[in-house]
Amino acid sequence: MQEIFGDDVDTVIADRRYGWINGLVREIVQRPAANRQTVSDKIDKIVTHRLFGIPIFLMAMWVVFKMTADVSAPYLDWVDGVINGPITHWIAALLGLLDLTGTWVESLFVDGVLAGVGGVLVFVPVLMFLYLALAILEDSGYMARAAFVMDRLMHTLGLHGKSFLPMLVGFGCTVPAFYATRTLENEKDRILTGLLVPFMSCGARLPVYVLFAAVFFPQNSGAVVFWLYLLGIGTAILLGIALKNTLFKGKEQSTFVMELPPYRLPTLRSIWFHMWERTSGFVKKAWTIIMATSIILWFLMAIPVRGEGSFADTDIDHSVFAAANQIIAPVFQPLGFGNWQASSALLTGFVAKEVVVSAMSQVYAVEQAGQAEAPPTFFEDIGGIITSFVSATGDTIKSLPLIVGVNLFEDEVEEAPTELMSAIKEGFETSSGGHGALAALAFMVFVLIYTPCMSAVAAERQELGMKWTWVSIVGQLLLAWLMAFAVFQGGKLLGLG
Amino acid sequence: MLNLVLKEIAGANEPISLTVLSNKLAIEQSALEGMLAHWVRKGKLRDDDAEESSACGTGGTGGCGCACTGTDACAFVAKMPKTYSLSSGIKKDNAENTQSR
Repeated sequence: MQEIFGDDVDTVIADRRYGWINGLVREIVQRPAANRQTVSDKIDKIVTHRLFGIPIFLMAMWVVFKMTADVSAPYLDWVDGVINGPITHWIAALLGLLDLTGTWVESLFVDGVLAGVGGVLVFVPVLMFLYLALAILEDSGYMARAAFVMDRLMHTLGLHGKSFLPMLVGFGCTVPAFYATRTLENEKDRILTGLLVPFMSCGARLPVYVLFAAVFFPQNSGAVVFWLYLLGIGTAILLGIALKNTLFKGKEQSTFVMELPPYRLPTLRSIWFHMWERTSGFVKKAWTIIMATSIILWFLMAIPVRGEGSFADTDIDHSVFAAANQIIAPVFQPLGFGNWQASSALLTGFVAKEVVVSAMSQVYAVEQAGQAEAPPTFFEDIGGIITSFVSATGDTIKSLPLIVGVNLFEDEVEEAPTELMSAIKEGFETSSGGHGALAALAFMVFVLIYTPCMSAVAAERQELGMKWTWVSIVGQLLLAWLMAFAVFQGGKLLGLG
Repeated sequence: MLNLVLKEIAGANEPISLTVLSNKLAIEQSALEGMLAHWVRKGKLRDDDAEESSACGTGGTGGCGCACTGTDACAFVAKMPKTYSLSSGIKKDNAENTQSR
């Protein structure tokens, strides 16, 4: 049989069976024309269309980032209020009961742990909204279509068609995205995709964008976040094309078949499960890595240099931490953020990207206003938490039309920025010579492009090997510097900001 | 019929969905899945999901730091569609076979 049919016996038998069954089904089963196309097929005709597919994907992304940046804002303010209000009061009261008021222990808890961990936990609602949007996209079946549409684009551009799948994973976390490159059989494709994966902005970078967008671009924060994500994708694609035509020049791309699941109405249970799993992962990180880093940073900020002050009683500008970061700060001077505060946040961001915000909260430590007033009682605090939560829920519902550009808050008085926001703004305005917004944009671009966290680097080393990991680290740092430089200096030349 | 499926995949210039392939070859999607599974067993196609999971090993503790990328291992991993790709050299072999027949 093998000789006659030119195929192995298994294949010949299976082929004949499939042929016979297919013929039988065609002869016997009659389907009305209307039933031949399912609802999923009809939707797919538009969603995966050659022309409409990409704009629909961009629109979906726009909705996701408007939700995360604008709609989550009332809950962000609520968590901020709870952490800086009741929780701070309770910790202060507890330390008072232990007779530790005014000691370095109080400073460690309030300026170290609370400022560091609290500064990151404030962004839990932002991430919850991001994970909510991603869960809806995944469970509805759209995410698979997004991967299909983008993979087709990647293939057209000469990159491996399956490159976008790991990149899509990278929106959540860069670590599993590196492991997802294993779906690529060819080593060159795998390494190339691995080099591009970190440009997909992971969830941990989102708090940085949201904070800076709220400080410098309060009216367009959602749009700023959206364009940053798009910049990441664009950078990855352009760099991919450049590398594919130079260092990774090689064989033609192989094609693949993708099994698109049918569209489904997402269930509340499944969405909640995904959202909770991912958010709790973020909170767990806050209590472990971020808390440990915050404590280390506090100690470094508490130790004076050149004998100015004593332990935990020194000006932060005269601390070991400030002195060490002042050495590298000039590197960032041409980018508009050459102060030690910004450079220290970037440096500590190697530990985890959330630490950028937590370090900012610590280095821009500011005296809380109204400390002279008598703190509210425990029950007043509880009442305040409940009423502010109800008010935040109302504001969230009211902010939903922001997704389509309708602002129902126009008549309301804009809330005053927090002390941290004012301090960041002042710091960036000073370091950039009055071009704070441009410097902030350059800072966000740097955060987007530069080396991911240490866990991601470990995964990268495991998947790509030491040589390519170093190429990636150095390359990302150089590219981040160049792109931030282009944003700041280019913007200044064009008279923007 | 089975060779037609392989030829169609090898000859495509871009990623194709199972639905498109099913419509193009006028083969029921469920039957097509069986045909793809046959070619995976024969080593002409790769089931990318299975390749990825087999790289996990059995001693992993899960979590995003482990090499397992399944949704159970890491909460941050998005559910991605199942893909089948041609094994190395198949495109060339298939084109040659088609010419010789």
